[in-house]
Amino acid sequence: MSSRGGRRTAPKKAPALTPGAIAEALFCLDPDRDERAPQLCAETLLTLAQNGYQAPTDPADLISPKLQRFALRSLALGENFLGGRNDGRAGEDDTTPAQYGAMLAVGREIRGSANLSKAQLALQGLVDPDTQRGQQPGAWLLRPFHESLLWYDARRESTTSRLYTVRKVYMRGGGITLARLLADPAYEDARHDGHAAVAAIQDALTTATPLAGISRTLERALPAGETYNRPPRLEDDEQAAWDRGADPRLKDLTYSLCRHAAGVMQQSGASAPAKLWQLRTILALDFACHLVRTAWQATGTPDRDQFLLLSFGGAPRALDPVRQRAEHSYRRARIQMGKATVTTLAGRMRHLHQVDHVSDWGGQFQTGSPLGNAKDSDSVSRQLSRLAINSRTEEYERVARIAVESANYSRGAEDGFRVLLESVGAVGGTGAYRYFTAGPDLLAALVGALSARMPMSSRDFFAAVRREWGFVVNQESAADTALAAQLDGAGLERNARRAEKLMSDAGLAIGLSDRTTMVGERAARSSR
Amino acid sequence: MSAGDNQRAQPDHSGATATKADELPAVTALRGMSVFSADQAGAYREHFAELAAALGDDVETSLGAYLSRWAAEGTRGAVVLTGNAGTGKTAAAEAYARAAGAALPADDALVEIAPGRSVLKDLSGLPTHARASTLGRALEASDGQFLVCANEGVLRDALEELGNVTAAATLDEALRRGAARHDDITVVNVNRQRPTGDRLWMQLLDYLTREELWTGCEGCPYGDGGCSMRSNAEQMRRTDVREQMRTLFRLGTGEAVPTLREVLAILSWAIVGRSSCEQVRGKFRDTGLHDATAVDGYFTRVLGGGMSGEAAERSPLLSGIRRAGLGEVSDLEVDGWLRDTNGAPDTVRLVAGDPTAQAQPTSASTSGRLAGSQSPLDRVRTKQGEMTFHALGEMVSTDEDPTRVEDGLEALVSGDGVDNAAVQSLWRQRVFFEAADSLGGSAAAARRLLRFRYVGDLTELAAKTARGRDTVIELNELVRGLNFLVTGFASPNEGLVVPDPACLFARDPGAFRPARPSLVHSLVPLSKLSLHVPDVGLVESLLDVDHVDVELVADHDEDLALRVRPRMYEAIREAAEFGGPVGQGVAEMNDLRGFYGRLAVHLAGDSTDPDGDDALRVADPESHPPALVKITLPHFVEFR
Repeated sequence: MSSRGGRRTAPKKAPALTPGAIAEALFCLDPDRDERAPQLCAETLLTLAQNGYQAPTDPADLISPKLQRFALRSLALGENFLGGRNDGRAGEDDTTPAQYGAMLAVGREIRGSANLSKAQLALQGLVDPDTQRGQQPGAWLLRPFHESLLWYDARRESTTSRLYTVRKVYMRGGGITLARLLADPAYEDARHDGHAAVAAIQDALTTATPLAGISRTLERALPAGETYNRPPRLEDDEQAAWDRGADPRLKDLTYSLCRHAAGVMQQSGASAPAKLWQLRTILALDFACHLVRTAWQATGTPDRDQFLLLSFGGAPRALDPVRQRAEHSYRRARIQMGKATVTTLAGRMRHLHQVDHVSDWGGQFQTGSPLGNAKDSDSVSRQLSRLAINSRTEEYERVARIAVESANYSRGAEDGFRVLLESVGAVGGTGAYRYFTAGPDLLAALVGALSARMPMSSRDFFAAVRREWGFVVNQESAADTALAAQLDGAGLERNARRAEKLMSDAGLAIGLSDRTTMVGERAARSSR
Repeated sequence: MSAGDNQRAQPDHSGATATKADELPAVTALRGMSVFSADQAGAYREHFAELAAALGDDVETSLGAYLSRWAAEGTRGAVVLTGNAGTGKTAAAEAYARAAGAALPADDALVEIAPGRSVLKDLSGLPTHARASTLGRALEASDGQFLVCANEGVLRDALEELGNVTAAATLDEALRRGAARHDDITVVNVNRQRPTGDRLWMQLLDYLTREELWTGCEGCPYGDGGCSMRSNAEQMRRTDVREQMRTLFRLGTGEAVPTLREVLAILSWAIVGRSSCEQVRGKFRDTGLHDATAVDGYFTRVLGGGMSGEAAERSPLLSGIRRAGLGEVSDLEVDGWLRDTNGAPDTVRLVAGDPTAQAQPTSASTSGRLAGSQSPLDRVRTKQGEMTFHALGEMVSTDEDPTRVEDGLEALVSGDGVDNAAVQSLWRQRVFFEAADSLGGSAAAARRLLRFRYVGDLTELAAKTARGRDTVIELNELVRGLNFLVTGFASPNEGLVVPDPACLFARDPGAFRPARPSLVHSLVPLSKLSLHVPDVGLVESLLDVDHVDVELVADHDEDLALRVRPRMYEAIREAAEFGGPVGQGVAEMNDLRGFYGRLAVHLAGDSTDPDGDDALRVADPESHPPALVKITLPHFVEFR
């Protein structure tokens, strides 16, 4: 449990022009290129689970999502997360927690166990492959299929230390905000869906499974109350992330997330893990859609350009105009996000200059950033200091553009958007050839999110995904977009047919020969 | 040329032709039935009269026969035909009207065509506000017969508005089972009609290829081996060719519900493509045998040959057929026969156009590389000119001129650079249709030349299941395959292993990485599993059905059914047989997750006690022989 009152110190004034600060100002969230769907989902579910699947009566009573489960993860990941923990005993009188962790890491039998290595292999199969980048087992997560399989990012205290502690590695607080949106939506008419979603998440995360038995047994052996066996104190930024859930700028996200999460979690015909896997997709997808929609809004993108074209099928790229346009659509989305970042950064520079009368520009950038280098006469901070107080917006935008080009502002915008979509299978290709697409898992999540309205014809389904996420699949949904003049209808209809085929193969739709496809017979809620 | 000119002489459907026409009426009709080009008027019922003049009366479907009998008997009640455009609802309504001694009304309204017999040929043709009331009149009448044709969506809306619970329940049941009857209301889901049914398939092919339709136009070069259309029709009259074609269509129907319109369109394309009699005569006049080759053969056209990939994609049925990969799958022996026909069976040598295989030379036989050619179907184009399959094989294998060999090889693997049909693909396709016996029979030919190696086994299993025969051995194989697919554990001895639903996500049956142990949720003994075919009961007596897939059902509960279509069956059998990575995609795994998820929920009560730490089992792919391994967790005293 986290400790309560008096634990936080007064926040110090943070630099206002760092990539994180600009992303937060623009999106009201803090995406990051290291935060992918698994991290976002785990943090959301951990926050819900740690707080009893409801919002704390007093926001100050929020419990941190930083859950260790070092015994279970030692077994599952083959790494001793209890290394260096030599105080106390684990399970046996002559076994320290560090020794216990070492035995678990190699799958050695402990106190009458048998075939523990088989359990280890079974658990290893459940590691979310999207988290297995790099050599940091502390950041590896299990798929979010049960409350007892969730844990927070961990890292060694230093490169020479054997002590692991839970801390922000790839989880950045976005999941805490999403948990707030679901458990305590700020809008009365979103509450029904939000609460229904959270109740169904609780059911799914606490479903009886042998996996829970393994986790419970192994964790029970650790001495209670130790720092590595209880959540640490709530941190300021965690509290801020929770509070951010009430920000009016997240109104649209609140509605869509509650609606979609309720759809996924209340559908029939899917197992609890299948629903939770779809929830992982929807959380990341809605988060990413919020980013791009905010960028469209910030840059005044015309309605006809506000779409994401999904390309289906395996035709060679050179022969597939829809694929080429989907690449273009992806590039356009990123460009708009970059432009939105420049606009936001310029606006903030102007405000700091003209309203706050800031003169120490170097302090507004990240420590060590070349942008704030006072010795370089061409650095952004020096250029800002040379601007007259009554400079025009264009001047700030010029400087902001230089800043964006020479520092990593895309990390919290375009790149955050990319990794979220990549980790749910919504982006295919590599490098300059990336394009929007959807695999069976993503399509299943879209169908699940719309379960309240299922079954429906594929035509209605494509119209619904256009409305809900801005995805264009067929000719009809492209009619009011710039695509109408760029692609012939036959190409888009073929694209739709391929999507239907994929859904039929995945058991999400039934294809009929006259080009009608009925989607979501199974996902339809049983009450219908 | 005007239509009038074309129809200077009409066949009298008795086989005799008074005078020869410039264009065979059948050719005009078949070209119009295609849905793959702009000229597709013949594909719609409204233009059927023109087709009937050329091709004769409709084929008689079981549905048409049932409705005709019903009209003759005069039994009171309502029959509702629901299904998608092109499935044959209007044709069936026409048969009903004919049996009642009347014509099908032209208007979309409930029309009394004969005393006590009313027809509404398309509910969606009525204004929205009138649909429910009109349907109500038909369904709730106390006397007379009412036949209503309606698309599902429109019908469901109208029933909802009407509040007729019995009819709505009947519709639901019909959509599930194909047909349902309650009181006087019968609802038939025409989407479940299968053109590959025993009777209907032969009728459809007769309808398009029967000899009397293909007597030849004025100056027809068929006798000289110059008309691909008549050669196609001739071959498609062969029983063995029809059976092979049926296999392909069955594969296609396993992926999409086929409409009669689509089937007829594909068959028409296979026979005539875009050709006309005038074109064929003109080419023969100008180039002799040289411009009529195997690229116009039915065996490649039935797979969409001659049309763009985009056009082929318009038909889900054709897309399904193309996925069979006929022509792309190699077989050492078949490919070897092309390079050297000497050791090949006589049937194969005939197909190759080997002159020494023919009992007597035909009029089409000429000297040189076309010697032995019987029809355009055995000729191919190369940079060295047109030649028979046999001559190409000889050139590639024995010619000493490297240029000729290179040109031959290029034609063999890449095509002639004009139509890009690789000769080896054309060869495999032709052998599949016309020399299946030389490959060991129909099932063996499918196994050797299609991507779906087990399609023959699936149809056989479906037929056995439909007849209620013993399928225990096959069930065992299915369970073995499924166990491997979901756990990597290839043994049916423990029954169907239902893994913990979470562990299903750890499996990628297409990956070469060895499977990890899966926690077992529960086991379903073989005695609780059964095989069914989807189309049973009333639907069998009302529609032409063909059993091309099966359902694996647990506990006799329809909600716990896994539909095993050709792709799924392929994955299961590959898994059972090879115990290694299977060729099917992640989409099938998604379907399996749904099935096992439902099973796990259903069997939750029987599963291992989740809190009983000593009752965990894993299906261990590494144990030999495959076995379920019990896991015992450590015992700790409460440490507090």
